[in-house]
Amino acid sequence: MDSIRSYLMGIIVAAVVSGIAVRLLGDKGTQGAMGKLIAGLFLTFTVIQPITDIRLDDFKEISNQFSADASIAVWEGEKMTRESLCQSIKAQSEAYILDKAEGMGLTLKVEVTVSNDDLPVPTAVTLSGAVSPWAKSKLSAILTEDLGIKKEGQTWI
Amino acid sequence: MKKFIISLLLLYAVAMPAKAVEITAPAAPEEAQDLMPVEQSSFGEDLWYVVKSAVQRLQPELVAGCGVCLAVTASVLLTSMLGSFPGSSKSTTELVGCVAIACLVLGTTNSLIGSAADTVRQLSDYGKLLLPVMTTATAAQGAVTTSTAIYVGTALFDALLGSLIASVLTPLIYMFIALSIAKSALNEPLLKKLQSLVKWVTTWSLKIILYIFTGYITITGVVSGTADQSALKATKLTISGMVPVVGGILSDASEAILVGASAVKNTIGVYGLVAVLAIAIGPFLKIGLQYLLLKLIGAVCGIFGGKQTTGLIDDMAAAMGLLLAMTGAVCLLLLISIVCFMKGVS
Repeated sequence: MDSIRSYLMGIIVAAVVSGIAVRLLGDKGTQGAMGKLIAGLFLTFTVIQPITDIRLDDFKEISNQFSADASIAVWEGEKMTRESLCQSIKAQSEAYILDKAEGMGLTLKVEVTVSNDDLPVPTAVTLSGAVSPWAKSKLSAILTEDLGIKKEGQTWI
Repeated sequence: MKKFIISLLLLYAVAMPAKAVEITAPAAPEEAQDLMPVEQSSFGEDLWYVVKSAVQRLQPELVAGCGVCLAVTASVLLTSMLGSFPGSSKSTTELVGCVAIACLVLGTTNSLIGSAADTVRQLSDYGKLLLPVMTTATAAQGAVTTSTAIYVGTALFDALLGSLIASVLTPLIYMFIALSIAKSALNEPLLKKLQSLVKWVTTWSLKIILYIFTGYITITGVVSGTADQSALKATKLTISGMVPVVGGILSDASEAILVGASAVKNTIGVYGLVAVLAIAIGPFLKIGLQYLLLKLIGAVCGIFGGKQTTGLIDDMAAAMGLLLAMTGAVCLLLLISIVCFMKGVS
C-alpha cells in the first residue's frame, strides 16, 4: 500500500506542478505550446514510471530458474514412467516364461532383471526349480529367441 | 491358451500404471475448498457445484450493493432536485453530487480492489504449486518437450502479469478512479483525456500479454507436440525391435503405461481447473455484481441525473470492468495452461 500511496502522491504532485507551469507560461503562443508539451511529457513519464522499475535482467534470471524447475519436474515424470515400464516389462516377461515352463510341465520360480536404460528390456533371468537337461536347453532357447536374453544372462539354480 | 495369456498380460499392463504413477494435485486454498465438491465427479458437475456454492454466498454482497445503489440513486435525485431550484449553481450541485457518490462507492470499491489483488496473488501461488505437478504428469505421459515449454511459458507470463498487476495496474486503477472523480467534479477535458489514457494502458497491457501468451502456447504446442509424438513412436518401435518375439506385447505395455499416466494427468488437470475456478469465482462474482449494479443505476440515474454525476457512476462501473479484466486475465492464463497440459500428446 505504501508504494501505491507514494505513486499516487507522485502523480498528484506532478499534476499540480505541471498545472502551475502551464498557467504561468500561458495558453497562447509558442511558449505556451512548449510548456504544455513539456508538462504532458513530464506527467506521462510520472504515470508510466513503474514500468521502468521492471528489470529485464531479473526476468532472464527468473526464466533460467523456471527452466531448471521444469527440468526437475520432467525428470521426475520420466523416472516414474521408466519405473512403471520396468515393473510392467519384468512382470510380463516373468509371466511369459512361467507360461512356457508350465507348457513343458515344469514348476519354476522366475526372476527377470530388466535393463535400467531409457528403454528397459529384459537382460538377465534367474530360474530356480527342478528341470531336466532337455527342458533346460529348450527353455534356454526360448529365452534367447523370444525375449532376447543371452545365455550368459541365464542363471539356473 | 496363448490368446488368454496375452489378454491377461495386457489386462495386467493396463492395470499396472495406475498403481505405479502416483501424482496428486495440490490442495486448493482453504477459502476455495469451501466452494469445491468433497468428492471429484465429472468436470461439468464439479463446475456446476462451484458456481452454485459461489452464487449462494453472494447474498450479503447483493444486499450491501443494493444499499449503496439506493443511496447513490437518492443522492443523484437530491442533486438534480437541488439543481432545478431557481438561483442554484448547477456546477456546485454537480460537484456536491460527485463528492457524495464518491464517498458512497469508494468504500466498496477499495475493498473490491484489495480482494482482486488477493485473488491474483492466490491464483499465482496455486499456479506455482500446480504447474510442476502438471509438468511431471505430462512428462510421465511422454510429452517431455511440450511439458517443459508450457511450464516455462506459463510460469514466465504468470510472473510478468503478477508483477505488472502489483506494481502498475493496481495503482493505475486507483489513478483511474481518482481521475474519474476529479473529471466529474471539475468537468475538466484534460482529466478526461488522462483517464482515457489510463484505461487504454490497463486494457491493452492485459490484452497484449494474453495475445503473446496464447501465441506462444499455440506455436510451442504444435512444434513440441510433433517432436514428442515422433520420440514416442521411436521408443515404441525400438522396444518392439529389441525384444525378438514378445517385443510387440512389451511395446503395447509401454503404450498402456502412457495411457495410464494420461488418465492420472487428466484427473489432476480437472481438479486444477476446478480449483482455479473456485479461487477466482468468488471475487469475480462480487466484482461482477458491483459492475452490473453500477451499470444499472447509471442507466436509471441517466433519466433524471446530471451529466457529471451519471458519468461518474459509469466511470466507477468501468473501474469494476478493469478489475474484472485484471482478475480474469490471470485466471484465463492458468486455465489455458492447464488445458494445454491436459491436451499433452495425442
